[in-house]
Amino acid sequence: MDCDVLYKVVVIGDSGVGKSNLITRFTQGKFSKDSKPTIGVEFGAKTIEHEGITIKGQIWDTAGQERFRAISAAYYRGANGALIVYDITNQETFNNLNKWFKEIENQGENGCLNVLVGNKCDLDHLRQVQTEDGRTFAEKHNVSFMETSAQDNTNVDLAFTSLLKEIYKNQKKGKKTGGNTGGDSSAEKGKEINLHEPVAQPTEDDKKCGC
Amino acid sequence: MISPSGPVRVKSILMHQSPVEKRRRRSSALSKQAPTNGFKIPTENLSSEFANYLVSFGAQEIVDDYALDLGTYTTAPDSPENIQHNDDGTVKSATIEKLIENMLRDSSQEIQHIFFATYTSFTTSSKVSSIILSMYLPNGEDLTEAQKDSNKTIIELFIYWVSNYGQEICDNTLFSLLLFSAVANNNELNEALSCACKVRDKYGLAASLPLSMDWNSYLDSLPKTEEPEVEDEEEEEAEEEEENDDASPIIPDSWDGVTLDVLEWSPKELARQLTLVEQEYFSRIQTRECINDNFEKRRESKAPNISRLVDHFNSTSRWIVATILREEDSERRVLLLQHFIELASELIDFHNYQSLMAVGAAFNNSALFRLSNLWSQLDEEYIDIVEYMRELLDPSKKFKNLRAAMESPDSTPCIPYIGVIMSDLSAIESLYNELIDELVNFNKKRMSTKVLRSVQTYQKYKYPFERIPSLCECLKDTVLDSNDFSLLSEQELHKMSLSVQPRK
Repeated sequence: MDCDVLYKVVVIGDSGVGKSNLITRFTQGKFSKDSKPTIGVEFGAKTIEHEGITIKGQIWDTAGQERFRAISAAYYRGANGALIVYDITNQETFNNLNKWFKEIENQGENGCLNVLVGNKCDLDHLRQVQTEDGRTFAEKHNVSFMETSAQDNTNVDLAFTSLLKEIYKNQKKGKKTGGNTGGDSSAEKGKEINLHEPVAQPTEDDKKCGC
Repeated sequence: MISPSGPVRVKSILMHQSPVEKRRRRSSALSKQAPTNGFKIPTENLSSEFANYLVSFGAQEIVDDYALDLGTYTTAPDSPENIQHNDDGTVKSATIEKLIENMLRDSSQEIQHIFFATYTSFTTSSKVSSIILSMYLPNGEDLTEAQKDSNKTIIELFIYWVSNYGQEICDNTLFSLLLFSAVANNNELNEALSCACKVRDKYGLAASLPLSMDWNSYLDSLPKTEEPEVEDEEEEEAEEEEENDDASPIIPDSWDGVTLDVLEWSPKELARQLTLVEQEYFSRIQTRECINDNFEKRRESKAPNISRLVDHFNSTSRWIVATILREEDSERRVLLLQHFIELASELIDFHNYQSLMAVGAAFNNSALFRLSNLWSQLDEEYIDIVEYMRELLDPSKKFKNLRAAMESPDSTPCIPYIGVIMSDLSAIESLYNELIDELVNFNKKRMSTKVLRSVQTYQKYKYPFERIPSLCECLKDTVLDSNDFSLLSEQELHKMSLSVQPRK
């Protein structure tokens, strides 16, 4: 493996908030939007250096499947972190955040770290959701918050890398104290994941309680 | 290719007639009209019944907006400002006009297929029709062979458009095309338009014509045509007559047609009927509904069929979770889980990946997933199937394994998991520019079309199973709703889950 630890991060939020664009911006850097389109290609992984170790973030894009609610559990399974995205120019995507938080609470792993992201902040003239409202919502749910723009590359790296570092910090803390917060060992999965295999699927022996 | 020529203004014949007068003048309107602006439509080009028909409904108001500017198109020489090509010679990006010009020249019809499958994302039906109409040359006498051919191609284009995408043509444009069909006097086009209008009436998509016109009486006066294909359950049943012995339905004696006891049914029969229900939903999808923009933003009006398919997916998944969790007897609970695993195994054999994904999603639902006491009672053969499913349905690498299975030539008939297709379309939509140097990014449209056409290919497949209508109804959302299955919220499922196996 070309990394010391691998974490799975899932990007969720309403359709059209720019999930794919955030992921592409983070993992590909500059991406030509005029290039010939391809399908089925995943732009989904990036390695960062932190405190002398390499952290690989495997980023899962749920775009296009937002309405297939039932399938979300498969995405959340084994996720170490989630980027919950809304569009600052679309109030409805902000109003729907409760739905997404509730879902990740029900279906996500314990110890899964969340970040709230208000995307498209380059379109300030079309803004419908005030920064303060985003911040208040994040505080209420005890998650970090930032506004990003995949378009002009504002805070995109920061959003992903700070989440990955935070996950790393949490893991380390968990190990030192000999256990994980929340009584779920899913956080340790980060070490088990092999890139060439599906993210560790549970067998009957390692079923984890998601509650 | 197309030279400018005098415009034909249908509107002029009907212009200055007040709405009040119209009904009185019904029968003799055409001959008595005295156009005031100097343009006159050649009566030989407009069938008199049709003209009378328009007038009888006070059409002058509408017709004002429907000038058919035939033959007014002037072509601009190709330049990087209006068209760009890829290395392989295909169109990379172009103006709408250049796309249409190339479409008329393109004998492979590739551009035509892409253009009509995607034009709503960059222009409107009225713009398209007015450009094409301006390329049509009236006055039959003096045309060269090449010009006649071009006219013929234009009529063929309209026929293709109206037959395949008639439901998306706006009312005003459809009206222009009806006027044009009277000018062109082409039976095939008349038939196509007639079908399109009837289908619209059927689905109530466009009852909002400018005046409340009695379309049916006009349409009935057009040459008779076959009814558009409407999928009926009866029809499907008829089609499925050639079943082999193996496909004969296995109906349990206890079946009362209403109460679905899963364990009474063989997994194979459940899988067959679920597949027929899925196919029914899937085959109704208009491919353009898959484009996220349509699906998400104007879901009810623009994407009713795919909404139904997705609702069915979610409720099937929840029904499976709820069926297992509600079972109070722990032994029967294991049997139920095994039954659904066997069902999944049948679905794999049927290449019904949409239903399979719903079952897989149920197994992944944390209310079910957390029940280690339940899963640990499974025999190895069941665990093997579950493992196989997990690998097949794994969302990582954009469903690499599932894609391979769906695209395998052995996988026919097949119902794909639509989520894969929708995520492809969503990626194409969001990651690439609509315009390159102010020109329509036709590469993007080509790729979207490729994905949409794959849906059409899957839709052609039929399963040779005999339908058990009462069971199919049970498996559909409505019945599930009345049983309160799909109404159970995640929280309620979790509560049930905790009563089955309390938290450690």
